[in-house]
Order: sequence, then C-alpha cells, then structure tokens
Amino acid sequence: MLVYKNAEYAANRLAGTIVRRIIGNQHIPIAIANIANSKVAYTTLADNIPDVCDLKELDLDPVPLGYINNQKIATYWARKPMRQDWRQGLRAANVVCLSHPHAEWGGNNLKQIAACIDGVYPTFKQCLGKVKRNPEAKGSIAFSRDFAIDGGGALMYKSIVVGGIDDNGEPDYLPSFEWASDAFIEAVN
Amino acid sequence: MKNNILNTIKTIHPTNGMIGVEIEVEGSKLPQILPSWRIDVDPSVKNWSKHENYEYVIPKPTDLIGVKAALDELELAYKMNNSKVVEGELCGVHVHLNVQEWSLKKFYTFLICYYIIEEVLTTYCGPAREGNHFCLRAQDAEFILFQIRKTICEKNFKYLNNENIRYATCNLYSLFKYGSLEFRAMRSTRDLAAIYTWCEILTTLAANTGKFNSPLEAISQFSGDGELLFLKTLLGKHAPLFTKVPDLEKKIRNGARRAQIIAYATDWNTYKDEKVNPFK
Repeated sequence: MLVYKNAEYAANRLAGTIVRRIIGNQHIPIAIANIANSKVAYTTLADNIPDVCDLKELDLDPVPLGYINNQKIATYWARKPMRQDWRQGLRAANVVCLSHPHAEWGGNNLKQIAACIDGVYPTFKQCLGKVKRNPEAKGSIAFSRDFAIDGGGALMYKSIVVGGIDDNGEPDYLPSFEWASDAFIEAVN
Repeated sequence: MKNNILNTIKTIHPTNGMIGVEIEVEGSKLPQILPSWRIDVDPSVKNWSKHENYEYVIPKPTDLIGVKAALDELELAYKMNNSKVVEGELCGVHVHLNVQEWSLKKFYTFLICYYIIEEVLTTYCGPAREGNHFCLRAQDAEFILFQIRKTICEKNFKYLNNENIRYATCNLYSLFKYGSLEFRAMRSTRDLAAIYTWCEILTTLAANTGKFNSPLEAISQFSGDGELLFLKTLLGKHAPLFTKVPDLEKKIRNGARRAQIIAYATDWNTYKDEKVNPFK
C-alpha cells in the first residue's frame, strides 16, 4: 500500500481531496483540509464531522467510484488518470461524470458520494418498487456501483443502456449487451 | 495500406526498435556519464527529492538484448560509483513498447488482455506503485476504458489524444508522440534484474496476445480456460511470478469484467484482419 512519509509532500498531494481513513476494519471516506507535522485535519464525508488523525492512518488507494444516487437521479462517475492534476486523492478536477456530462461534483452530495465509496445502495427490489410507484418521474436510481434503472424501465450498466426491466422485474438485455448479465447477477446477489 | 497504428495516427514518426526504457532514480553517487543512456533531470522528481536525482533514458528504441546491455552498463556504473538508490513513491520506470506496426485488431486485443491482468501485473511493480497517482490502474481511474470504448465505437483515435489519460499504468497518449504504449507502473529500484524481468514480462505479453485473432477470441478463451490457464497463456514462463498474488483469481475476474466494455464495443469483423508481426 502506498504510504507518504514526508508531510510536506503529502500535504501537496492530499489537501483538498478525498481519501479514506483506516479505523479498525473500516475505511472511512474523508475530505482532507490540511496536513502538518504528520497530522491530518479532515472532515468525514458522510457526516461532516471534523477530526484529526496521523498521516500513517490514511488509506491512499484511490477511492472506488461508480453510480452516485442523488436526489432524483443516479449519475455515473469515474476518475481521470490525468497529468495536470497530480493529486493522490480525489477532487472535482480529476473526476468526470460519464452519464451526465454537465453534472457537478460535490456540493450538497457529500453524503451520497460517501455511500458510493462505501458501496452502500438500495436493493434492486427497492429500486424497482420506487420507479414503479412513480413511472412518470424521469429520474433514475442505482442499486449497485455499476447498475441503475430509470423511470422508463431502462437498465443501465456503467452509464450505458444495456436493456430494460420486463413486467416480471427481470432484465431484458439488448442483443449486443447480453454479456452484462453476469455482472447483473453479481450485483443483485 | 496496412490498417495499423502507424497509418492511423498521422503524427507518428516511423521508428524501428521494439522497446525503450526510462528509469527515474534518486539516491547518491549516481552515474553522470553513460554511453548507452541519455541522462536528464526530471522536474517532477527534482522538486521534491532530498537526494541527487536523474532520469536515465535509452535514447532510441532497441530490443531486449539492447536493454540488457544498457542495464548491465548501468549496473557496472552503480558498482564503480558505490551508488545508493532510494526506493520511494517519487520515482518510477517507464517502458515503451513500439506498437507502430501493430494492426488495430492486434492493438485492441493486447489492451483487453492487458486490462484483464493489469491488477495482477501491477503487484510486480511494488506496493508504492499500486494505486499511485503517477500510474493509475483502470480500477482506480476508469475514464481510460471509456475513452478506449469511444475510440473503438467511432473508429477515431482523437479520444486517446488527451493528457487526461497520461498518468495510467498503460499510457495511450504516448501513441501520438512515439507510436508506443508507455507502461509507467514499475518502481525504480537498485535491482536492475527486476527491471529487465519487467521488460520481458511486457514483451512476452505482447507476443502472446498475438495468439488471439480478435478481442472477443481473447475473452472467449478466458471464459473457457479460467484465470490461471489464461494467465499462463499470456505470460508463459513468467506466470509463476504471479501465482501467489493474494486473491489472484478474483483480481483477474474483475479485470475481465472491466475489459468487457471495450471487448464488446463493436463488431470486430468490421476491423480488417491482418497478420502483422508486432516486433518487426
């Protein structure tokens, strides 16, 4: 695992970005404010609680991304391996929305970003119930990092429409996307 | 006209030789004159290193024999100078594979095979390189796969002509400058034999992906063979270096899942089939 020993270097690579803090078996998403003398000032992403930890307590692996459930819509996000933004952590400059190109990163969605990083999603059944109850809504909802459904019954895999959901609640893949079935089975189980 | 990388990307200057190596080094008493190497100062290292630092570059693409000779020369110079090399997160080894003569189908087949085993391959490069922002894997920065998918779907390489994909373990932006794939993941180390082995691993992978006629054939063989046999097919005698990687099968399976969005991006029959020797 990547470890930074030089606090000044770490501050340059991490301040203003999202990484995770290791506490026991948990890897908690945090937004780093600053680093000085090997101490890290941060706020938790899910609850916006400020705290301090040691530099060595950070998990510097890039945080996992995918679908983020916002208020009415699921947006799909990926990191860019870009040269001009040499930060180890995630921030607005090095992330892109692949499903909705004009979507804005962050803002009031930090709790939802934390849920994505943690891999916390409603179940497929819950999502199906939600879109069935309100079929007129144009929104979408993700049931895993990789899959979402929308009010029109479309099934999306990593921002790509791969089919629909039939009346029995089963996926009905477009002919050229049947390969997505294994990933779907894994996602709903 | 051959349907290859050289004829697809018009900015490339035709170059012979199959492999190039750049080694960023920080340490002390480092060699400053070496006939087989160009010696540069890398600003990205210089600004942060507390040590002496240089970048050693093989000035023209060569073959594995040429790489070995250059590394032997560097080894001798290290010994003569009593050099000390510091292994840290700042320095890496970049290996360029010349793909100018590769057919497009061969090129994409290679990429799919690479991304299937990328996570496993990167374990060879050292823990400080896994997830390092200088060399992000597809699992860290998935944007690269979507750019490749667009390139395949629209048969337009403009999506790869982009600095935003440069700091990946496999830098495809290098296609436009050198006609090469740049592999950025290897750690800088005093162990030059490990660097040579990494070069061998990459060239073996490139040669063995030629066993498949298309990306779909590679994916199909993976499904039929399973993770371990597929790894052996790709890496040959180097496969045992990876068989003890924790969660090996899961890592390869996840890689295959990620590679699907490019493997199934098009009907590969629309790509003209050609027999091209990748190391011509």
